[in-house]
Amino acid sequence: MALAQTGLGFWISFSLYLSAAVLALLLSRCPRAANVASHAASMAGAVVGAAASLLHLLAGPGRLVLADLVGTVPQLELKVVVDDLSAYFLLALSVLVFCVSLYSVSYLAPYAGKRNLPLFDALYALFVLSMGLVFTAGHAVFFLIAWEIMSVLSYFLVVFESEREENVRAGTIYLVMTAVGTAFLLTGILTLYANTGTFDLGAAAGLSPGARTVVFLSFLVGFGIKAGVVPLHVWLPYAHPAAPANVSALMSGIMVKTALYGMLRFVLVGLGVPDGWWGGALLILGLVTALTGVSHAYVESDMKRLLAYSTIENVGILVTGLGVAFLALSAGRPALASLALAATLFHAFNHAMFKGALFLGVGSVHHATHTRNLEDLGGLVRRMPATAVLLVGAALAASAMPPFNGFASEWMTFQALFQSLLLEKSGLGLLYVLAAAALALAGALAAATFLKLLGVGLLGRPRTPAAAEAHEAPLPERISGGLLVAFCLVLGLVPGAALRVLERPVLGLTGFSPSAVSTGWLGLDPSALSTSPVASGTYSPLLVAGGVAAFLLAALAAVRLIGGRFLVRRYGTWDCGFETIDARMQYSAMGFSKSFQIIFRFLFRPTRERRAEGEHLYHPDSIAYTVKSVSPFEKFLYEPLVAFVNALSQKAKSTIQTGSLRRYLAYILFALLGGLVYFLVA
Amino acid sequence: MKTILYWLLQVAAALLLAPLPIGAIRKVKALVQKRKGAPLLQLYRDLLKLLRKSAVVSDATSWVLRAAPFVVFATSLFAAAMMPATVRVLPDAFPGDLILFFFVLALGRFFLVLSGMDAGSSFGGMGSAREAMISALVEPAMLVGLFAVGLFAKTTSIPGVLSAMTALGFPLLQPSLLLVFLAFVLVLLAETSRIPVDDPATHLELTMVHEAMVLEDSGRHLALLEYGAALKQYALLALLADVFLPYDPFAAVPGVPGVLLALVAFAVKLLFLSLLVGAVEAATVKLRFFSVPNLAAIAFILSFLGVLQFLIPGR
Amino acid sequence: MEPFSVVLSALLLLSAFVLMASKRIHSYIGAFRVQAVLVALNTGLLGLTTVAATGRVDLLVVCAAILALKVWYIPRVLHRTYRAVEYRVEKDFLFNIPTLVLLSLSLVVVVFVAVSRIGAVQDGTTLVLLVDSLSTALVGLFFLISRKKAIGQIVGLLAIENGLFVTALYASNGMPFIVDIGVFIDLVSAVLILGVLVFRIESAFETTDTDAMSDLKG
Repeated sequence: MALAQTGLGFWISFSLYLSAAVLALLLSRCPRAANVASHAASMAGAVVGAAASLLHLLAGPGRLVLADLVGTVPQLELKVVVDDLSAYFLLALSVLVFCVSLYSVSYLAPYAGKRNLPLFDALYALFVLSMGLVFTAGHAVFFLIAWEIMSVLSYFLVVFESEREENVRAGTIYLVMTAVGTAFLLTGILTLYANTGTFDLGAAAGLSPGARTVVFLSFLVGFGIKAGVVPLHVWLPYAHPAAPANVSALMSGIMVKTALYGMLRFVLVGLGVPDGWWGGALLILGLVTALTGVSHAYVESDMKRLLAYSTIENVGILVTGLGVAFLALSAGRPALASLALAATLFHAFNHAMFKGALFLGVGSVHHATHTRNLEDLGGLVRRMPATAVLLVGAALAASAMPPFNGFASEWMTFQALFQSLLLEKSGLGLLYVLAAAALALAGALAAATFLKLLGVGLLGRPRTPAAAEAHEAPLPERISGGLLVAFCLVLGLVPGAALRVLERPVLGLTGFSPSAVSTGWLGLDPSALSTSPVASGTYSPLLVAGGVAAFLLAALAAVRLIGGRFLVRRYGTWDCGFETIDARMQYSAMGFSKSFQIIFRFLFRPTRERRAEGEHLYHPDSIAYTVKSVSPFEKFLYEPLVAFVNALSQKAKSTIQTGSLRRYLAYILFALLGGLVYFLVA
Repeated sequence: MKTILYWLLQVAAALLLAPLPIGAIRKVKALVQKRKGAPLLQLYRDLLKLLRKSAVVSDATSWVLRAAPFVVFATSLFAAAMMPATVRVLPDAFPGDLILFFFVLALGRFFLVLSGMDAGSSFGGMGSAREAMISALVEPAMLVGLFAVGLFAKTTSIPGVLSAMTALGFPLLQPSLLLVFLAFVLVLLAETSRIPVDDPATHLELTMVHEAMVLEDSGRHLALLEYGAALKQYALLALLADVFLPYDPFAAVPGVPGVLLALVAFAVKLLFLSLLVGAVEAATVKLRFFSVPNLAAIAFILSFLGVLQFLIPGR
Repeated sequence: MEPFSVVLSALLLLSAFVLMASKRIHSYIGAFRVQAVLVALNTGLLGLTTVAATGRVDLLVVCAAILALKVWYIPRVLHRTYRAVEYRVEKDFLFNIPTLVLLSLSLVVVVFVAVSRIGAVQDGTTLVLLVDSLSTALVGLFFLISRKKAIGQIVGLLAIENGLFVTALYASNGMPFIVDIGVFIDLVSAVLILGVLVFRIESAFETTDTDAMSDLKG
């Protein structure tokens, strides 16, 4: 317990991350050793970090100042503070980093000698460290610095495989969007400073309503870009898949959560009880994000882009949950807000686990087959059995199937919506109904998305020689993915444990402990947080899992008893009595979601092209069929915007930046005069 | 003790009654078409016969195809057991929740859809893709309808909902619940692959949904999948019976005879609902696949109007 | 009686959505007929209560008029017209059916929010009845906008009238007898004239698409 009071664990963890970076650079002569050593150090840092955060959450002193260095630069304080909220996010970071680093040991090994692997390892470790600092910054300027370091490092990691043009393009889009985001964050932070006179992170009381609105909107846009909230999401499906799989896992798993952390830290802690419309705005944004994300994920055939879009969907769920919590808080219902926040934070953790596992598994498939395109895969369940099992597990969690963790948090979100509806007397209730409908649709489409990923990618016959010759992933990759899936299952089976960990962060935010929802080891019962007199539904994962497992075993036994031994006769797939069917006759990835694309064509605006080669119209030698769809956001929002900015710059270049030296000197003169006049007036 | 007894009763009722509605629906259809039709209990015999056979499995398949029938059966049975056949002996700690109910069914569907893709046949993929699509489209209607029912009971827990509905007496007189009932009937038709969404009697692979997914299954695998489908239908019919027709004519009879009479009443309700489904099936034609979204939209509207009808009076 | 009229009003609204969702002229007329039956039932129900309470039979007469005109006569005229024109299935909608139905749903939400702002109506049941009947009228109007062929527009007009009639019924137990009957006579003549016009439009433009009338602008 004494250990928890000092915060020593966090120090050790951070220094281990730093040493991982240093080790990688020191050993740069011997890339393989550098890779192993650096990731071993990261893993050690992660273990210590996880232990320290867990200890802090269960028995820590609440707020703990780790460092507070004031330099000669005014308004810059290197202040590292751990409180319950930070510790919760650090826990998620540490758990994910442990698994991803373990994975990286073997995943990155093939790069040794071909690329500057030690540099990559160092950037990776620093990226992890920067995220840790984002979660622990106690001073707004320091937060911004850590935030920028995180963004720039992740940019380098995204463009690591820079020989592919699309990766560079993805990186550029990412860099531009992130710069815009930082500008908005800066606006928010400066507005806060102008009103409170301090950069310290904490409650900022006494802001005028106008200033509150400006601050909220700035942070919403600034953090919204990082999280990928629609319509600010355009960079995410390019950048997340472009990075190597381990970095994708970190970016999707935890980096988007820095935005959630930021919203909680700056808006909820900073501004206190939210204004009434904030929650509504978040709710609607969240729903639009969830639906947009999942519908694009469903029609995507590139495995990693599919996962990136699914991340957008999950961000939508998180923002929706945040909106429900904000609405509850502004309506003066802290208990309900606790339920919604607990669901949101729990889902953030869950998403880190299952999305991490999915990216890692898909990365293994990518390395084994050298393709990310689902249309070129198939039959991997026999070539890569362990990877297939863990992908199925992670997909079950991501599709919110009981008894996995995704369902536990989704169920809590539904209960929060239901209770909001019960308590709401005005027409606002309809918003909750719509939210429930949209979340249900998003959840079912997410399940369909992952069915497509598994069904087309893993099952059936291999569609290309590369898929037919795939080899099973190396042991560290299987173990790391397996660990994450195991976390998903355990958290799903005993959500009470997660609520115990969540208790203090949520208590700090709303003043109400969510642990009353947990009924011991058995499960969840939110009635404790409800103001209605009746129990509001219960969910006990252990009973569900036990019951289904028991029925499964009973069915096995009964079938054995009635029908005798399990004999299986092998035969070909049903081919309608024709000769043979081959892999090309299988349902394709595009076909799987084509009907959805047709039904929602107003959203996707697909254009199709059918190109036949050969003499005969009806029996061509080959047919190529391509479907392209444009994102309405890119076409109607960003392209005009980019064109406008380009035109503006051109104009500026031709009128202001003429190349005449005398003109430039005149600018300087006017600037000086202007400054003088301002000084005199003010 | 009481809890164990209750669960045994539930499981037994589900297992015994599940194939009955399908037989009834088929009989209704046959009679409307002026055929004699198969006996009411034909499905029981089919299942028994199939269970005794070993399975023929495609050489392209994996463990998914062999595991799926068991998962589908177990999840459907669990969901069916969650819906009380009689509330007389309800245990105190009842782990039933309406949202959970639908997600347990979804778990079974997840594996069913996966197994459809396992053999690498275009038919299986077609069925799987369509099933994933249809189930996603009716999901909002289902959940909003659930919320409407939950609003009356102020809870989503199954016993809470049941007692609230019993207190209402005749729930269908509430406009809100009447609309939700209609929505749930549409959801039921879509979820259990009945006309107008899917044709369970079709022999043309190209129009199949559910049948296309189980095309590669045979013998005991097929038996479990069919049984699972029957259990799922039983569970959804039981939901309709419990929520919208809670009337118990033998409420005054105590003890074991009372429980048995309540079970008989429950079976009669199931049969009545099967007649309804059979009548719909006999009177309509299968919709074009791309008209199914219209059906889903209508179901959603019904559910949403149901909630609206509840919200308007302002309570 | 109240629970019955609430259920009837919900069914009335539902019939408006069924109307909105139907594609065939045949099903338009069927849906309208069902709606008319519901209106008649509602009127009859209220009429029976007024007879029991005050002894006035006005509403029962109106109910009989509805049955005769809206349930029997007008659908017959429409069926006859529909048999005479060339098309059976309406293809050109403003949007596709699910979108139209969802937009109609948002109309109901707007009506709900608007009516619940009226402070004068406090009673929950009255609110439901008002929202349902007004929404029926509005959905009818939207139906009229969304259909391009002339018969669809006639049915839309009739659906609006149904909604307004029931609104009046709920709000003040019906308009004065003479007004009701006058409106009916108007309706019948409107249907007859429109029925004739459908033929005229078709013979002049070889279509019943009312958009074609914009050619008349010259």
